[in-house]
Amino acid sequence: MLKLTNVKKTYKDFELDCSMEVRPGMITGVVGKNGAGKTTTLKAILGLIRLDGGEAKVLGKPVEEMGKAERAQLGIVLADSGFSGYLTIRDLLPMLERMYPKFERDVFLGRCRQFHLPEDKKIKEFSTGMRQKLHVLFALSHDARLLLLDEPTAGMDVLARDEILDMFREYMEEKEGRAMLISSHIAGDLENLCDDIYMIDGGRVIFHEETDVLLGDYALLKMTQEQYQKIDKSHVLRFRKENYGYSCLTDQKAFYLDNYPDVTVENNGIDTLITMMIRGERI
Amino acid sequence: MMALLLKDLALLKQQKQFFLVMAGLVVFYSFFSSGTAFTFAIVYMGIMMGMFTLSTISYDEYNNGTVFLFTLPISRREYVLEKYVFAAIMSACSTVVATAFCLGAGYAKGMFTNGADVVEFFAGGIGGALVTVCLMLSLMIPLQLKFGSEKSRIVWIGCTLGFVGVAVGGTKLMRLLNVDVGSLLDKAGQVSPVTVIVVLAVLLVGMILISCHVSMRIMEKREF
Repeated sequence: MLKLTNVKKTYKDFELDCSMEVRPGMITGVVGKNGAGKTTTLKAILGLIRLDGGEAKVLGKPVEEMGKAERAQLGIVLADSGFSGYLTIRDLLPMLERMYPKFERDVFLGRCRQFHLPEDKKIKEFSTGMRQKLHVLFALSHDARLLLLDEPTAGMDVLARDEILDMFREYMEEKEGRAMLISSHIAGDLENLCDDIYMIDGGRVIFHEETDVLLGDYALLKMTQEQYQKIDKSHVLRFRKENYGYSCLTDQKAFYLDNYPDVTVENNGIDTLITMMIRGERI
Repeated sequence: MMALLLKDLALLKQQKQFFLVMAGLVVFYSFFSSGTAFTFAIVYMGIMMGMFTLSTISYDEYNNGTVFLFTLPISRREYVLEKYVFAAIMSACSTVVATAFCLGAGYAKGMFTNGADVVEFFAGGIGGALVTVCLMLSLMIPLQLKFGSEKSRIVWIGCTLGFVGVAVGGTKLMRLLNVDVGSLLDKAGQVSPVTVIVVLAVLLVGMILISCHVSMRIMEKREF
Protein backbone atom coordinates (compact mmCIF):
# COMPACT_ATOMS: atom_id res chain seq x y z
CA MET A 1 0.00 0.00 0.00
CA LEU A 2 2.82 2.37 0.98
CA LYS A 3 6.52 1.64 1.02
CA LEU A 4 9.41 3.99 1.68
CA THR A 5 12.88 2.60 1.04
CA ASN A 6 15.77 4.73 2.26
CA VAL A 7 13.92 7.92 1.31
CA LYS A 8 16.38 10.79 1.61
CA LYS A 9 15.85 14.53 1.69
CA THR A 10 18.54 16.96 2.74
CA TYR A 11 17.95 20.51 3.93
CA LYS A 12 20.50 22.94 5.31
CA ASP A 13 19.94 21.87 8.91
CA PHE A 14 17.95 18.65 8.60
CA GLU A 15 18.29 15.31 6.87
CA LEU A 16 15.54 12.73 6.36
CA ASP A 17 16.57 9.12 5.85
CA CYS A 18 13.51 6.99 6.31
CA SER A 19 12.19 3.51 5.50
CA MET A 20 8.71 2.35 6.44
CA GLU A 21 5.80 0.28 5.19
CA VAL A 22 2.03 0.42 5.56
CA ARG A 23 0.30 -2.80 4.58
CA PRO A 24 -3.34 -3.24 3.50
CA GLY A 25 -5.75 -3.46 6.42
CA MET A 26 -3.23 -1.87 8.80
CA ILE A 27 -3.34 1.35 10.79
CA THR A 28 0.22 2.55 11.21
CA GLY A 29 1.13 5.36 13.60
CA VAL A 30 4.06 7.74 13.41
CA VAL A 31 5.29 9.45 16.56
CA GLY A 32 8.15 11.80 17.29
CA LYS A 33 8.84 15.17 18.82
CA ASN A 34 8.30 18.42 16.88
CA GLY A 35 10.75 18.73 14.00
CA ALA A 36 11.53 15.00 14.04
CA GLY A 37 10.61 14.59 10.37
CA LYS A 38 7.00 13.35 10.46
CA THR A 39 5.62 16.08 8.19
CA THR A 40 8.63 15.87 5.84
CA THR A 41 8.00 12.12 5.53
CA LEU A 42 4.36 12.80 4.65
CA LYS A 43 5.40 15.42 2.09
CA ALA A 44 7.75 12.89 0.51
CA ILE A 45 4.89 10.38 0.28
CA LEU A 46 2.65 12.99 -1.38
CA GLY A 47 5.26 14.17 -3.88
CA LEU A 48 5.30 17.68 -2.41
CA ILE A 49 9.09 17.57 -2.16
CA ARG A 50 11.66 16.03 -4.52
CA LEU A 51 13.58 13.10 -3.10
CA ASP A 52 17.37 13.22 -2.99
CA GLY A 53 17.55 9.43 -2.83
CA GLY A 54 15.64 6.23 -2.18
CA GLU A 55 12.20 5.28 -3.37
CA ALA A 56 8.67 6.07 -2.25
CA LYS A 57 5.90 3.84 -3.60
CA VAL A 58 2.26 4.72 -3.03
CA LEU A 59 -0.49 2.27 -4.08
CA GLY A 60 2.19 0.33 -5.95
CA LYS A 61 3.46 3.28 -8.00
CA PRO A 62 6.58 5.42 -7.52
CA VAL A 63 5.41 8.74 -6.10
CA GLU A 64 6.78 10.66 -9.13
CA GLU A 65 4.45 8.66 -11.40
CA MET A 66 1.33 9.11 -9.28
CA GLY A 67 -1.49 10.41 -11.45
CA LYS A 68 -5.00 11.67 -10.82
CA ALA A 69 -6.40 8.14 -10.45
CA GLU A 70 -3.99 7.29 -7.63
CA ARG A 71 -4.43 10.65 -5.91
CA ALA A 72 -8.21 10.21 -5.97
CA GLN A 73 -7.68 7.10 -3.83
CA LEU A 74 -5.89 9.02 -1.09
CA GLY A 75 -7.58 10.67 1.87
CA ILE A 76 -5.39 13.46 3.22
CA VAL A 77 -5.40 15.54 6.38
CA LEU A 78 -2.45 17.88 6.90
CA ALA A 79 -1.58 19.60 10.17
CA ASP A 80 -0.93 23.06 8.81
CA SER A 81 -2.73 23.26 5.49
CA GLY A 82 -6.19 22.81 4.03
CA PHE A 83 -8.85 24.15 1.68
CA SER A 84 -8.69 27.85 0.86
CA GLY A 85 -10.15 29.80 3.78
CA TYR A 86 -12.08 31.99 1.34
CA LEU A 87 -14.34 29.09 0.32
CA THR A 88 -17.36 27.65 2.12
CA ILE A 89 -18.32 23.98 2.42
CA ARG A 90 -21.04 24.59 -0.17
CA ASP A 91 -18.43 26.05 -2.54
CA LEU A 92 -16.30 22.92 -2.21
CA LEU A 93 -19.02 20.50 -3.32
CA PRO A 94 -18.96 21.04 -7.13
CA MET A 95 -15.16 20.94 -7.12
CA LEU A 96 -14.96 17.73 -5.08
CA GLU A 97 -17.66 16.04 -7.19
CA ARG A 98 -15.54 16.72 -10.30
CA MET A 99 -12.28 15.63 -8.70
CA TYR A 100 -13.38 12.44 -6.98
CA PRO A 101 -15.43 9.88 -8.95
CA LYS A 102 -16.54 8.25 -5.68
CA PHE A 103 -17.28 11.42 -3.71
CA GLU A 104 -20.34 10.79 -1.48
CA ARG A 105 -21.91 14.23 -1.31
CA ASP A 106 -24.84 13.31 0.92
CA VAL A 107 -22.73 11.36 3.41
CA PHE A 108 -20.22 14.24 3.56
CA LEU A 109 -22.90 16.87 4.09
CA GLY A 110 -24.70 14.69 6.64
CA ARG A 111 -21.52 14.35 8.68
CA CYS A 112 -20.80 18.08 8.41
CA ARG A 113 -24.22 18.69 9.95
CA GLN A 114 -23.59 16.01 12.61
CA PHE A 115 -20.45 17.92 13.65
CA HIS A 116 -22.19 21.32 13.41
CA LEU A 117 -20.02 22.63 10.58
CA PRO A 118 -21.82 25.56 8.88
CA GLU A 119 -22.16 25.10 5.13
CA ASP A 120 -22.24 28.78 4.20
CA LYS A 121 -19.53 30.17 6.45
CA LYS A 122 -16.05 30.85 5.07
CA ILE A 123 -13.59 28.21 6.24
CA LYS A 124 -11.21 30.88 7.51
CA GLU A 125 -13.85 31.76 10.10
CA PHE A 126 -13.85 28.18 11.46
CA SER A 127 -11.98 27.35 14.68
CA THR A 128 -8.89 25.09 14.41
CA GLY A 129 -10.93 22.11 15.58
CA MET A 130 -13.74 22.79 13.08
CA ARG A 131 -11.26 23.07 10.20
CA GLN A 132 -9.64 19.81 11.18
CA LYS A 133 -13.04 18.10 11.44
CA LEU A 134 -13.90 19.33 7.95
CA HIS A 135 -10.70 17.86 6.51
CA VAL A 136 -11.18 14.56 8.31
CA LEU A 137 -14.77 14.29 7.05
CA PHE A 138 -13.57 15.09 3.54
CA ALA A 139 -10.80 12.44 3.76
CA LEU A 140 -13.46 9.85 4.67
CA SER A 141 -15.91 10.93 1.98
CA HIS A 142 -14.57 9.49 -1.28
CA ASP A 143 -13.77 5.81 -0.62
CA ALA A 144 -10.02 6.45 -0.23
CA ARG A 145 -7.91 3.29 -0.07
CA LEU A 146 -5.09 4.97 1.82
CA LEU A 147 -5.60 7.60 4.51
CA LEU A 148 -2.60 9.83 5.26
CA LEU A 149 -3.39 11.82 8.38
CA ASP A 150 -1.08 14.35 9.99
CA GLU A 151 -2.39 15.40 13.41
CA PRO A 152 -6.04 14.77 12.38
CA THR A 153 -7.48 15.43 15.85
CA ALA A 154 -5.54 18.65 16.55
CA GLY A 155 -7.69 21.31 18.22
CA MET A 156 -10.67 19.00 18.83
CA ASP A 157 -12.35 18.56 22.20
CA VAL A 158 -12.38 15.11 23.85
CA LEU A 159 -15.87 14.16 22.64
CA ALA A 160 -15.21 15.15 19.02
CA ARG A 161 -11.88 13.31 19.13
CA ASP A 162 -13.57 10.11 20.32
CA GLU A 163 -16.21 10.37 17.60
CA ILE A 164 -13.57 10.91 14.93
CA LEU A 165 -11.47 7.98 16.16
CA ASP A 166 -14.57 5.78 16.06
CA MET A 167 -15.19 6.94 12.49
CA PHE A 168 -11.62 5.93 11.57
CA ARG A 169 -12.21 2.44 13.01
CA GLU A 170 -15.55 2.10 11.20
CA TYR A 171 -13.97 3.28 7.96
CA MET A 172 -11.27 0.65 8.21
CA GLU A 173 -13.77 -2.10 9.00
CA GLU A 174 -16.20 -1.03 6.26
CA LYS A 175 -14.07 -2.34 3.41
CA GLU A 176 -11.12 -4.70 3.19
CA GLY A 177 -7.79 -3.50 1.91
CA ARG A 178 -7.94 0.02 3.25
CA ALA A 179 -4.92 1.35 5.13
CA MET A 180 -4.03 4.34 7.26
CA LEU A 181 -0.87 6.22 8.24
CA ILE A 182 -1.49 8.57 11.13
CA SER A 183 0.70 10.91 13.13
CA SER A 184 -0.46 12.45 16.39
CA HIS A 185 0.89 14.13 19.48
CA ILE A 186 -1.86 12.52 21.52
CA ALA A 187 -0.41 9.15 22.47
CA GLY A 188 -3.76 7.80 23.65
CA ASP A 189 -5.22 8.21 20.16
CA LEU A 190 -2.50 6.05 18.65
CA GLU A 191 -2.40 3.41 21.40
CA ASN A 192 -6.08 2.66 20.94
CA LEU A 193 -6.09 2.86 17.16
CA CYS A 194 -2.84 1.68 15.59
CA ASP A 195 -1.66 -1.81 14.70
CA ASP A 196 1.98 -0.75 14.61
CA ILE A 197 3.98 2.33 15.43
CA TYR A 198 7.07 3.98 13.98
CA MET A 199 9.06 6.51 15.96
CA ILE A 200 11.05 9.11 14.06
CA ASP A 201 13.78 11.26 15.52
CA GLY A 202 16.26 13.48 13.70
CA GLY A 203 14.83 12.33 10.35
CA ARG A 204 15.44 8.64 11.06
CA VAL A 205 13.21 5.76 12.15
CA ILE A 206 14.58 4.82 15.56
CA PHE A 207 11.87 2.39 16.54
CA HIS A 208 9.19 0.19 14.95
CA GLU A 209 6.96 -2.19 16.83
CA GLU A 210 3.46 -3.65 16.82
CA THR A 211 1.24 -1.78 19.31
CA ASP A 212 0.18 -4.99 21.11
CA VAL A 213 3.82 -5.90 21.71
CA LEU A 214 4.63 -2.34 22.72
CA LEU A 215 1.86 -2.22 25.32
CA GLY A 216 2.27 -5.84 26.43
CA ASP A 217 6.00 -6.53 26.51
CA TYR A 218 7.59 -3.11 26.96
CA ALA A 219 7.79 -1.61 30.43
CA LEU A 220 9.44 1.10 32.45
CA LEU A 221 11.60 -0.21 35.31
CA LYS A 222 12.20 2.03 38.29
CA MET A 223 14.99 1.16 40.69
CA THR A 224 17.52 2.46 43.17
CA GLN A 225 21.19 2.89 42.32
CA GLU A 226 22.06 -0.37 44.14
CA GLN A 227 19.37 -2.32 42.26
CA TYR A 228 20.63 -0.84 38.99
CA GLN A 229 24.18 -2.05 39.68
CA LYS A 230 22.98 -5.64 40.22
CA ILE A 231 20.29 -5.96 37.53
CA ASP A 232 20.75 -7.92 34.28
CA LYS A 233 20.85 -5.16 31.65
CA SER A 234 20.75 -7.38 28.57
CA HIS A 235 17.09 -6.46 27.96
CA VAL A 236 17.40 -2.75 28.82
CA LEU A 237 16.96 -0.60 25.72
CA ARG A 238 17.51 2.83 27.32
CA PHE A 239 18.22 4.13 30.83
CA ARG A 240 17.96 7.49 32.56
CA LYS A 241 19.39 8.80 35.79
CA GLU A 242 16.56 9.92 38.07
CA ASN A 243 16.28 11.48 41.58
CA TYR A 244 15.41 8.10 43.06
CA GLY A 245 18.01 6.13 41.09
CA TYR A 246 17.41 4.91 37.53
CA SER A 247 14.55 4.33 35.11
CA CYS A 248 15.05 1.79 32.33
CA LEU A 249 13.03 0.94 29.22
CA THR A 250 12.79 -2.77 28.52
CA ASP A 251 11.08 -4.93 25.89
CA GLN A 252 11.05 -7.97 28.23
CA LYS A 253 8.62 -6.99 30.98
CA ALA A 254 7.98 -10.61 32.04
CA PHE A 255 11.70 -11.29 32.55
CA TYR A 256 12.05 -8.49 35.10
CA LEU A 257 8.71 -9.26 36.77
CA ASP A 258 9.83 -12.88 37.31
CA ASN A 259 13.45 -12.27 38.29
CA TYR A 260 13.44 -8.89 40.05
CA PRO A 261 10.31 -8.66 42.24
CA ASP A 262 11.83 -5.71 44.14
CA VAL A 263 12.05 -3.54 41.04
CA THR A 264 9.01 -1.41 40.21
CA VAL A 265 7.66 -2.40 36.79
CA GLU A 266 5.27 0.10 35.19
CA ASN A 267 3.27 -0.54 32.06
CA ASN A 268 4.63 1.36 29.12
CA GLY A 269 2.76 3.93 27.06
CA ILE A 270 3.80 5.77 23.92
CA ASP A 271 4.62 8.94 25.85
CA THR A 272 7.06 7.03 28.07
CA LEU A 273 8.50 5.31 25.02
CA ILE A 274 9.13 8.64 23.26
CA THR A 275 10.76 10.14 26.35
CA MET A 276 12.98 7.13 26.98
CA MET A 277 13.96 6.54 23.34
CA ILE A 278 14.90 10.18 22.80
CA ARG A 279 16.13 11.34 26.20
CA GLY A 280 17.44 8.01 27.49
CA GLU A 281 20.94 6.60 26.98
CA ARG A 282 21.96 3.30 25.48
CA ILE A 283 23.69 0.77 27.72
CA MET B 1 -9.48 21.52 -15.04
CA MET B 2 -13.20 22.07 -14.68
CA ALA B 3 -12.92 21.43 -10.92
CA LEU B 4 -10.35 24.21 -10.58
CA LEU B 5 -12.43 26.57 -12.71
CA LEU B 6 -15.41 25.89 -10.45
CA LYS B 7 -13.23 26.65 -7.42
CA ASP B 8 -12.09 29.97 -8.88
CA LEU B 9 -15.64 30.87 -9.85
CA ALA B 10 -16.65 30.18 -6.25
CA LEU B 11 -13.87 32.53 -5.12
CA LEU B 12 -15.16 35.13 -7.58
CA LYS B 13 -18.65 34.71 -6.18
CA GLN B 14 -17.28 35.52 -2.71
CA GLN B 15 -16.12 38.88 -4.08
CA LYS B 16 -19.37 39.66 -5.91
CA GLN B 17 -20.04 42.87 -3.99
CA PHE B 18 -16.72 44.36 -5.07
CA PHE B 19 -17.32 43.48 -8.70
CA LEU B 20 -20.89 44.78 -8.62
CA VAL B 21 -19.55 48.15 -7.44
CA MET B 22 -17.01 48.05 -10.28
CA ALA B 23 -19.75 47.22 -12.78
CA GLY B 24 -21.83 50.11 -11.38
CA LEU B 25 -18.91 52.48 -11.93
CA VAL B 26 -18.55 51.26 -15.52
CA VAL B 27 -22.26 51.85 -16.19
CA PHE B 28 -22.01 55.31 -14.62
CA TYR B 29 -18.86 56.13 -16.59
CA SER B 30 -20.27 54.89 -19.90
CA PHE B 31 -23.33 57.14 -19.60
CA PHE B 32 -21.76 60.28 -18.15
CA SER B 33 -18.32 60.50 -19.79
CA SER B 34 -17.69 62.10 -23.14
CA GLY B 35 -15.29 61.68 -26.09
CA THR B 36 -12.71 58.88 -26.21
CA ALA B 37 -12.58 58.62 -22.40
CA PHE B 38 -15.70 56.55 -22.97
CA THR B 39 -13.61 53.44 -23.84
CA PHE B 40 -11.82 53.56 -20.51
CA ALA B 41 -14.69 51.56 -19.01
CA ILE B 42 -13.96 48.64 -21.35
CA VAL B 43 -10.22 48.62 -20.61
CA TYR B 44 -10.84 49.00 -16.89
CA MET B 45 -13.30 46.11 -16.62
CA GLY B 46 -11.08 43.85 -18.75
CA ILE B 47 -8.09 44.55 -16.53
CA MET B 48 -9.97 44.22 -13.23
CA MET B 49 -11.47 40.86 -14.13
CA GLY B 50 -8.26 39.54 -15.71
CA MET B 51 -6.24 40.58 -12.69
CA PHE B 52 -8.66 38.72 -10.42
CA THR B 53 -6.76 35.59 -11.54
CA LEU B 54 -3.84 36.85 -9.46
CA SER B 55 -6.16 37.19 -6.48
CA THR B 56 -7.24 33.55 -6.88
CA ILE B 57 -3.57 32.53 -6.60
CA SER B 58 -3.35 34.54 -3.36
CA TYR B 59 -6.54 32.92 -2.08
CA ASP B 60 -5.09 29.48 -2.93
CA GLU B 61 -1.94 30.36 -0.99
CA TYR B 62 -3.84 31.68 2.03
CA ASN B 63 -2.86 29.77 5.19
CA ASN B 64 -0.51 27.47 3.28
CA GLY B 65 -3.45 26.22 1.16
CA THR B 66 -1.45 25.45 -1.99
CA VAL B 67 0.23 22.53 -0.20
CA PHE B 68 -3.13 20.88 0.40
CA LEU B 69 -4.37 21.75 -3.09
CA PHE B 70 -1.53 19.74 -4.63
CA THR B 71 -2.43 16.65 -2.61
CA LEU B 72 -5.78 16.58 -4.48
CA PRO B 73 -6.13 14.83 -7.85
CA ILE B 74 -4.78 17.70 -9.99
CA SER B 75 -1.44 18.11 -11.72
CA ARG B 76 0.73 21.18 -11.37
CA ARG B 77 0.60 21.80 -15.14
CA GLU B 78 -3.19 21.66 -15.00
CA TYR B 79 -3.22 24.19 -12.17
CA VAL B 80 -1.12 26.64 -14.18
CA LEU B 81 -3.09 26.14 -17.39
CA GLU B 82 -6.34 26.72 -15.52
CA LYS B 83 -5.11 30.11 -14.31
CA TYR B 84 -4.53 31.28 -17.90
CA VAL B 85 -7.84 29.85 -19.09
CA PHE B 86 -9.65 31.49 -16.16
CA ALA B 87 -7.98 34.83 -16.94
CA ALA B 88 -8.99 34.54 -20.60
CA ILE B 89 -12.61 33.71 -19.73
CA MET B 90 -12.87 36.50 -17.16
CA SER B 91 -11.30 39.13 -19.43
CA ALA B 92 -13.35 38.09 -22.44
CA CYS B 93 -16.65 38.04 -20.54
CA SER B 94 -16.08 41.39 -18.82
CA THR B 95 -14.89 43.05 -22.05
CA VAL B 96 -17.97 41.82 -23.92
CA VAL B 97 -20.30 43.04 -21.15
CA ALA B 98 -18.55 46.42 -20.80
CA THR B 99 -18.52 46.87 -24.60
CA ALA B 100 -22.25 46.11 -24.77
CA PHE B 101 -22.93 48.73 -22.07
CA CYS B 102 -20.78 51.33 -23.81
CA LEU B 103 -22.39 50.52 -27.15
CA GLY B 104 -25.84 50.96 -25.66
CA ALA B 105 -24.81 54.20 -23.97
CA GLY B 106 -23.21 55.49 -27.20
CA TYR B 107 -26.37 54.85 -29.22
CA ALA B 108 -28.51 56.36 -26.44
CA LYS B 109 -26.41 59.51 -26.59
CA GLY B 110 -26.49 59.54 -30.42
CA MET B 111 -22.71 59.29 -30.76
CA PHE B 112 -22.74 56.88 -33.71
CA THR B 113 -24.00 57.71 -37.18
CA ASN B 114 -22.77 54.57 -38.94
CA GLY B 115 -21.05 51.19 -38.38
CA ALA B 116 -17.58 52.59 -39.13
CA ASP B 117 -17.95 55.03 -36.22
CA VAL B 118 -18.71 52.14 -33.90
CA VAL B 119 -15.74 50.03 -35.06
CA GLU B 120 -13.34 52.96 -34.83
CA PHE B 121 -14.64 53.98 -31.44
CA PHE B 122 -14.45 50.59 -29.77
CA ALA B 123 -11.38 49.09 -31.47
CA GLY B 124 -9.28 51.28 -29.20
CA GLY B 125 -11.11 50.13 -26.07
CA ILE B 126 -11.15 46.40 -26.82
CA GLY B 127 -7.62 46.42 -28.27
CA GLY B 128 -6.37 48.42 -25.28
CA ALA B 129 -7.97 46.01 -22.80
CA LEU B 130 -6.60 42.97 -24.63
CA VAL B 131 -3.02 44.26 -24.88
CA THR B 132 -2.92 45.54 -21.29
CA VAL B 133 -4.40 42.36 -19.77
CA CYS B 134 -2.13 40.07 -21.82
CA LEU B 135 0.98 42.11 -20.95
CA MET B 136 0.24 42.30 -17.25
CA LEU B 137 -0.85 38.70 -16.77
CA SER B 138 2.00 37.27 -18.87
CA LEU B 139 4.42 38.87 -16.46
CA MET B 140 2.47 38.75 -13.21
CA ILE B 141 1.32 35.10 -13.20
CA PRO B 142 4.84 33.60 -13.35
CA LEU B 143 6.12 36.26 -10.93
CA GLN B 144 3.39 35.46 -8.41
CA LEU B 145 3.87 31.71 -8.73
CA LYS B 146 7.61 32.13 -8.23
CA PHE B 147 7.74 34.76 -5.49
CA GLY B 148 4.28 34.71 -3.88
CA SER B 149 1.88 37.64 -3.78
CA GLU B 150 3.93 39.96 -1.50
CA LYS B 151 7.37 39.62 -3.07
CA SER B 152 5.98 39.54 -6.61
CA ARG B 153 4.63 43.09 -6.20
CA ILE B 154 8.13 44.33 -5.40
CA VAL B 155 9.57 42.42 -8.37
CA TRP B 156 6.75 43.85 -10.55
CA ILE B 157 7.65 47.41 -9.53
CA GLY B 158 11.28 46.60 -10.31
CA CYS B 159 10.29 45.26 -13.75
CA THR B 160 8.18 48.36 -14.50
CA LEU B 161 11.03 50.68 -13.54
CA GLY B 162 13.33 48.53 -15.69
CA PHE B 163 11.02 48.92 -18.73
CA VAL B 164 10.83 52.68 -18.22
CA GLY B 165 14.62 52.80 -17.92
CA VAL B 166 15.07 50.80 -21.13
CA ALA B 167 12.57 53.03 -22.99
CA VAL B 168 14.18 56.30 -21.82
CA GLY B 169 17.70 54.93 -22.40
CA GLY B 170 16.73 53.64 -25.85
CA THR B 171 15.29 56.99 -26.89
CA LYS B 172 18.41 58.84 -25.68
CA LEU B 173 20.64 56.34 -27.46
CA MET B 174 18.74 56.84 -30.72
CA ARG B 175 19.15 60.61 -30.37
CA LEU B 176 22.87 60.16 -29.78
CA LEU B 177 23.04 57.99 -32.90
CA ASN B 178 21.06 60.66 -34.82
CA VAL B 179 18.15 58.31 -35.46
CA ASP B 180 15.01 60.32 -36.26
CA VAL B 181 12.41 58.87 -33.84
CA GLY B 182 9.63 61.08 -35.27
CA SER B 183 10.04 59.75 -38.80
CA LEU B 184 10.14 56.17 -37.47
CA LEU B 185 6.82 56.75 -35.74
CA ASP B 186 5.40 58.33 -38.91
CA LYS B 187 6.41 55.23 -40.86
CA ALA B 188 4.84 52.98 -38.22
CA GLY B 189 1.64 55.00 -38.53
CA GLN B 190 1.50 54.23 -42.27
CA VAL B 191 1.37 50.45 -41.71
CA SER B 192 -2.07 49.04 -42.51
CA PRO B 193 -4.37 48.29 -39.51
CA VAL B 194 -4.64 44.64 -40.57
CA THR B 195 -0.85 44.22 -40.43
CA VAL B 196 -0.76 45.90 -37.01
CA ILE B 197 -3.49 43.60 -35.69
CA VAL B 198 -1.81 40.47 -37.08
CA VAL B 199 1.63 41.40 -35.72
CA LEU B 200 0.13 42.36 -32.37
CA ALA B 201 -1.89 39.12 -32.17
CA VAL B 202 1.16 36.98 -32.97
CA LEU B 203 3.24 38.85 -30.38
CA LEU B 204 0.56 38.52 -27.68
CA VAL B 205 -0.11 34.83 -28.34
CA GLY B 206 3.65 34.15 -28.33
CA MET B 207 4.05 36.05 -25.09
CA ILE B 208 1.23 34.15 -23.38
CA LEU B 209 2.59 30.78 -24.55
CA ILE B 210 6.06 31.63 -23.23
CA SER B 211 4.57 32.91 -19.97
CA CYS B 212 2.50 29.73 -19.55
CA HIS B 213 5.52 27.53 -20.25
CA VAL B 214 7.65 29.46 -17.72
CA SER B 215 4.86 29.24 -15.10
CA MET B 216 4.60 25.47 -15.59
CA ARG B 217 8.36 25.10 -15.13
CA ILE B 218 8.19 27.19 -11.96
CA MET B 219 5.40 25.07 -10.48
CA GLU B 220 6.98 21.75 -11.48
CA LYS B 221 10.22 22.73 -9.73
CA ARG B 222 8.51 24.16 -6.67
CA GLU B 223 8.74 22.27 -3.38
CA PHE B 224 6.31 22.68 -0.52
